[in-house]
Amino acid sequence: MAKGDNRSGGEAASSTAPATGLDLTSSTTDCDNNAPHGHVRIDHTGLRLRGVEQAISPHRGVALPRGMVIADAWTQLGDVVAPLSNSSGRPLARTVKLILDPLVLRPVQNPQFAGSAIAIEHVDDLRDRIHAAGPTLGATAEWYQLVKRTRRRAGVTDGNPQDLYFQRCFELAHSNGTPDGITTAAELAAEVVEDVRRSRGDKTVEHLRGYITDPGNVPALNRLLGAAWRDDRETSAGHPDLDARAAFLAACATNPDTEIFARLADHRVGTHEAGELSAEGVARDYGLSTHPRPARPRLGDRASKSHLPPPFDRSILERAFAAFTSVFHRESMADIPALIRQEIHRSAGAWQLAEESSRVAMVLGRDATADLTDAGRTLSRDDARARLRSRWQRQAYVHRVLRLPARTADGLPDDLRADIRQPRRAYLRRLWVRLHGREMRGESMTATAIWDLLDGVMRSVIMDQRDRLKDTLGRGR
Amino acid sequence: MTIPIYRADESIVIGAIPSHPERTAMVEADGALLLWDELADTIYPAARIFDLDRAGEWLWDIYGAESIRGILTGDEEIDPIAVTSILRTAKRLAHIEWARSWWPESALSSIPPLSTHLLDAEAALHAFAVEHLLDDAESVRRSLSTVDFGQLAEFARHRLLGEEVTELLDRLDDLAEDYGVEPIRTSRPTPVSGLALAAGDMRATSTAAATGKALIDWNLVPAGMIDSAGSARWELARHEGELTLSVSVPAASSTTDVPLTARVGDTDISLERSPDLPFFVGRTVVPTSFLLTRTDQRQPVVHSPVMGRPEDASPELADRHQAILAHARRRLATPDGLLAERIAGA
Repeated sequence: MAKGDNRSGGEAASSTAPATGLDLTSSTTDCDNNAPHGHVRIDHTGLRLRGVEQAISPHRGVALPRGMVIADAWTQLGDVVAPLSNSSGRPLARTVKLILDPLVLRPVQNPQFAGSAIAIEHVDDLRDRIHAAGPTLGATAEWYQLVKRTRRRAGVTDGNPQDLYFQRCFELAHSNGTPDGITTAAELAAEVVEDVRRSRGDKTVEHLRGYITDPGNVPALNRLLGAAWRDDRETSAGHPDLDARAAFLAACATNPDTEIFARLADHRVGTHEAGELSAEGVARDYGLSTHPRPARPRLGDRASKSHLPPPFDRSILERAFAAFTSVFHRESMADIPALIRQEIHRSAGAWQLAEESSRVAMVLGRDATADLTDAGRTLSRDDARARLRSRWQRQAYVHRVLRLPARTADGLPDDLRADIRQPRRAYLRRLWVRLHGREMRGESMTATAIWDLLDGVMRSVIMDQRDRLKDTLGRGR
Repeated sequence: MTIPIYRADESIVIGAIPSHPERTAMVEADGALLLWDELADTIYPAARIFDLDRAGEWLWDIYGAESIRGILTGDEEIDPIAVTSILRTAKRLAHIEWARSWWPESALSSIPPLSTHLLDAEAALHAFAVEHLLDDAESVRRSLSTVDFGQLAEFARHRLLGEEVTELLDRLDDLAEDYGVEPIRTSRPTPVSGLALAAGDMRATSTAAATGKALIDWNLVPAGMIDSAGSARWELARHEGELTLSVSVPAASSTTDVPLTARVGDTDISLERSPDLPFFVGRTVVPTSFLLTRTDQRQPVVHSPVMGRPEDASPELADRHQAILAHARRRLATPDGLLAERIAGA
């Protein structure tokens, strides 16, 4: 089956869905329990699912799963979007994440498209929006194919093309239509490939290293580092706002409270809570340093992808380098001298981060993982703390099903055993890395993005441990 | 087909969760685990739902659009009818995961190993088709980065199924490019060892005072390490004036070098790979008083310390193992089985 075949997604043995796709006709305001197949009516009576309930129209109480509406609209775009689809004809995960959500549906501006259920009165609107974007999406797919061919000819293999080119191709499609329509298509595609290659290439990293190790720059940079660590430190500012933190975590997975989050940042809760890091052993217990107390970083003269130390022990070069090895948009990065100066100031900030919203996110991550491995106190199922604990604890079952080592196994390597017993260290380390990466790309942390971040970091820690367990068994990954 | 729904504080459970790990075929989906019973002939999985908001986006792909209302609104059962290609693909992906973990390779039972390269390749392809419902957004890339395209190409010469492998390789090449995975290509295939028959007993060394065999709990040894139909054979003997306890376990094809131990009472006997026979063997000197030990306490419990601590074996373990061995034999003869199964069974 070629990619893009079998696009209906409704190969119904008993023909409950029409061959053309899913029966999502929503011009009706049908609230009837006997609505045709494909309609979903959600009653408030007996509903225990708060997240869904909140996404339901308060007036009609009728909603459809968002994935179903998107799948239906996507199907109707036909084969032109096959390069952006999986082999079941659904938009790729990155098509949704990088194109449909931020560039077409824009749920932040259009809250009716946010959440997992779409109220029936907005279903047509969502479908129309995807339909209206159809020509641009089709053109995006054509540009993507062209850019991939160009990349292949140029011998570029580094990085995930979806991450690197999807949004660039959407921009090209938006400005130029299809590549067939303009004579400079080949040049434009080559430009995208070259631009991305240059921004990720060794040359840039070499340039970074050259700048930071240049004897002409080193004294001034060291003076700046010394001054920043002397003058920028703010350890006593802010408030703890313990109740507000708990209240935010209680709802952030289903209904993030933007006001509380803004208040946490205004009250400089992140900065305040960083005060504890200067106490002996705290940063080490959080996995952020190997030293009893975080020390001023060095400028550094080398960096390697595979052996980066814990965040607070990284040199300025290693911190800047890490951002070059992850996905980023070059245009959003500062030039190298400015980037290094920023990094120096950032290193002296609370949590060694620059934005208060990132620091708040670190505090929330710390709070949310405090009793990951304990039975813990009873929390509502939707509470971020309960959800993360549930994800962590159900791994014991998942590992049994996958015939992987039990957490209690004595024969595991010591470092792996320690990481399994104290997952919070790996968690906070990874959370910091993600927040740092966001800062370098100029992306601020928002209330609505917190849960995906907290949950995504947990998933990533779990998958990393699983890979290491498989390595231990010699099973490959 | 009516499927019950149980609602608890922690999660919502649709259907009956398979009873034992070795018969559970699982897909880790976004907000839920999908669990098929390998030994049951049902297309619909059980589901343990942790996050209905997320799972609600794709559950209709599995149980059909007509069932989603009941799941979301608190019904106590659903009655799904539709069988979509996505459901079939998800089930197949779960089966591949099961095979990676529990395929009961056994020379004694004539069940050959499955090629992990073929399993990885098919997993990548299936993960791509259901990527939108998987918990791990990196699963396609993750699977692709384990596939050895060079070794896979060796299967393209297969007399009956070579063409299918070639087609699979073409699609994987496209996928690797799409996901920015640099294909691994080693030039020489790892020889998939055939069925090195481990039917022979350990070499006779002396006069045995007592012998016996004990079942091995698959949960306590890594996949592919021991012959799944094999037992731990033990022998108590006088050897050069000392009382020795020997244990041997038939090996399977995995070359993993994790330690293997036989625990007998309070004694741990380290089992080493025999240099010339497909066995793990170990021996220790025991005091004469060992002869007074009750037979049931003399049973060796074979385990790898990296997997976990030995527990009392469940009395129905032998039957459970037999059921899986029979299932694998059927799978090898299934015309629409995985490529890995059909090539192993050809």
